[in-house]
Amino acid sequence: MQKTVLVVDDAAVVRQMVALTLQGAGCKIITAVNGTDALSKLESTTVDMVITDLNMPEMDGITLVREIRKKEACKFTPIVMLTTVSQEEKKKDGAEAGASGWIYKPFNSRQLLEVVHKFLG
Amino acid sequence: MTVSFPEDLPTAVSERPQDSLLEVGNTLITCIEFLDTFMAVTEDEFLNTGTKLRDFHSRSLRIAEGSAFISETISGDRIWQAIEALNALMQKMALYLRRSENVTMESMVRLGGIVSTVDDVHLHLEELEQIARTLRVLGLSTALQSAALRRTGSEGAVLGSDIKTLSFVVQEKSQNIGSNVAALITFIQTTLARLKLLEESQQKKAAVVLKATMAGINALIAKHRLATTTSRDISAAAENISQSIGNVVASQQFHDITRQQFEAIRNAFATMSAALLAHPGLRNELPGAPGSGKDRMREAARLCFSEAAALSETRRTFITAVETIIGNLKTIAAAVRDMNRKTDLLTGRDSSSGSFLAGLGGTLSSVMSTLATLSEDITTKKELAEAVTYIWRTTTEMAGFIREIEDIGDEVDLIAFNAAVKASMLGEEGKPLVVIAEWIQRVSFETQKHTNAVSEMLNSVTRYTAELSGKIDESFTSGGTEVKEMSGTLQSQVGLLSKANRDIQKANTEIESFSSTLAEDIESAADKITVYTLVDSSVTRIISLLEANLARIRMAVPEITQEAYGGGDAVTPLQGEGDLRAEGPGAPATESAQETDKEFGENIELF
Repeated sequence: MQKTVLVVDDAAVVRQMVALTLQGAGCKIITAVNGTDALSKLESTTVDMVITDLNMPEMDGITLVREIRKKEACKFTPIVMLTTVSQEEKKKDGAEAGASGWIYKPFNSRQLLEVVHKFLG
Repeated sequence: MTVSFPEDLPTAVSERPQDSLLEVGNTLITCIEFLDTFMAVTEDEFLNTGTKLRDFHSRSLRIAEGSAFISETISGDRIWQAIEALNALMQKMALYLRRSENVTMESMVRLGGIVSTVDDVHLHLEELEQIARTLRVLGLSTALQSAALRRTGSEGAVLGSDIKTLSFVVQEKSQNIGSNVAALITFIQTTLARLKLLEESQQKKAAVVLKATMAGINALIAKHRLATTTSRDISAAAENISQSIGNVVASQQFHDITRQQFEAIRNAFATMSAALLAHPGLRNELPGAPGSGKDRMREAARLCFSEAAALSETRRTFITAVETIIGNLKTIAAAVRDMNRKTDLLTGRDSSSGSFLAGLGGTLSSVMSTLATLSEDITTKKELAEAVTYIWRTTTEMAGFIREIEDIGDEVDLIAFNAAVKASMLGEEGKPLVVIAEWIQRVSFETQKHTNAVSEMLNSVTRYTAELSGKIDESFTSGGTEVKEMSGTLQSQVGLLSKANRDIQKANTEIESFSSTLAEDIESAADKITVYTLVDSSVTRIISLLEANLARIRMAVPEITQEAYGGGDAVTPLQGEGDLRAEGPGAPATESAQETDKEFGENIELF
């Protein structure tokens, strides 16, 4: 069954890149430009995984993770942060907020696919 | 990156120092405009490249699927089994044709023997005709003698007439047989000549066709091996291309990495320019006041110096990443071309006779010719069987004539006996009749001798022909069954190979539609990535503006030296979301990564 992944990033190039990579692996992609947009999309859609940037306008990634975890339907949805930030305190914040993993750029397509595969099987 | 620091102060330095804050702030705003311009352009270009990559990726995936299908079809067991079955069938056909040739040759030898035997009948027929003439003379003599001997009365005349009649019958029958023999010999000789011609042409044709087919199959076996390797290479190449395109896609993230760095620099410029533009001016401030103009100029100097270094480093990262993307795209285009060449070789798109498909098509057509040759062989056999049947019927008919002549012989014998009886009844007077009776008896004996010989010959021809007919029939029947079986097997194998051939052609057409311009399109996409020249020139321009700012600051506040704002430190940390490191596809190879999750890579941590 095709898995749906929500990709949240304010950078169009990143959204496109992640979408291209995961569509190649057979995933259905939904995109959002920030945390607020992502929450709005989640109101009407069920997703299997969320990949989100950290720093975004309106609502950042960690706030988004906290908000998603508040949703009953998304308590166990894997949420991976995809960011250029590798600071330990930020990672700790992410983990505490409920993120499932942290990928910091640059990464390669194989790594992204392996992580997605790990969570979605 | 080394930013030049103005050691020589311009002469007009202190004329309007209060404006220097504004100038430095405005210059930073100009820098921001440059940054905004090229960042917008780079995003558009990266998105455009991404869209093209989506198309390339999709096309390469289709090529990979098509190649995998071809590889699977060609190297699969079914094709190999079909080729092996064809090979075995060809051996069987060769054996069948050799056997068939032997039967035909043997038949021809036998027919030659029949001609010779039938020809010998002529001699006996000539003797029988001689006998008929003798009988006519004897009939005449009997009639004459009977007339002379009045006592014989009409009986003698009847006897003479009977003998004469019999002579005509013998002559007629002999002539009938003679003409039949002549016709039969002509027929057999014509048949032999035709069979010889047919056999020679057929054998010649069969030899050529079989040789070509066997050569075709052997070549096909060799090509199958080569095709199996090549198609696997193509599949692997297509997979690699697809993966490489995926890596180029991932390289697009360097736009985001550098964008964040450029944005961090932009934000620093914005903050600093706002602070500078909001300041009342160097002349209006109180000496020693905190946040003084001089302090701000010092901060601005530090910013200009460090951000120039950061800009230079980010530009290096960006250009290296873009150049790597372009290089990778060109490598992918070359790999696509190489894969296309292999596909052409495999599928015969280059019209090469060395291709698997060209070989397969040629072999199938050759195999079908072999099948046609087998059908021709059956036709020859049928003709032969018909000819032999005709010979048998003719000789049987002739045997009937011989039986009639034998009957005549018996009658002649009876006449001779009657003549002898009459002669004995006449005593001395009947002596001439005795002589005639003895002659008639001798003729009767001769007739019997020759009719027996002819009968024996014809019987042997009939027997021989019947045997030959049996053999040909058997060969025709068993050959027909064998040919039918072989045709069935052949047609099923050819059908299987033809289907595979059609499937491969279809996949090949699809591959062609996806790959025909892929290499050119990838190269064209690579050539159209020119954004790095804009980034390069823009950053150069910004750095020169920052250097100009440093000159202004130096003019305005001479005590701000390079050491004073920390310009002695060669390394300025990059600003942005964090510690940006350039690694992975399209990244400079000199950077190192922090260890995290070993299972997926050093930049991944799963909680």
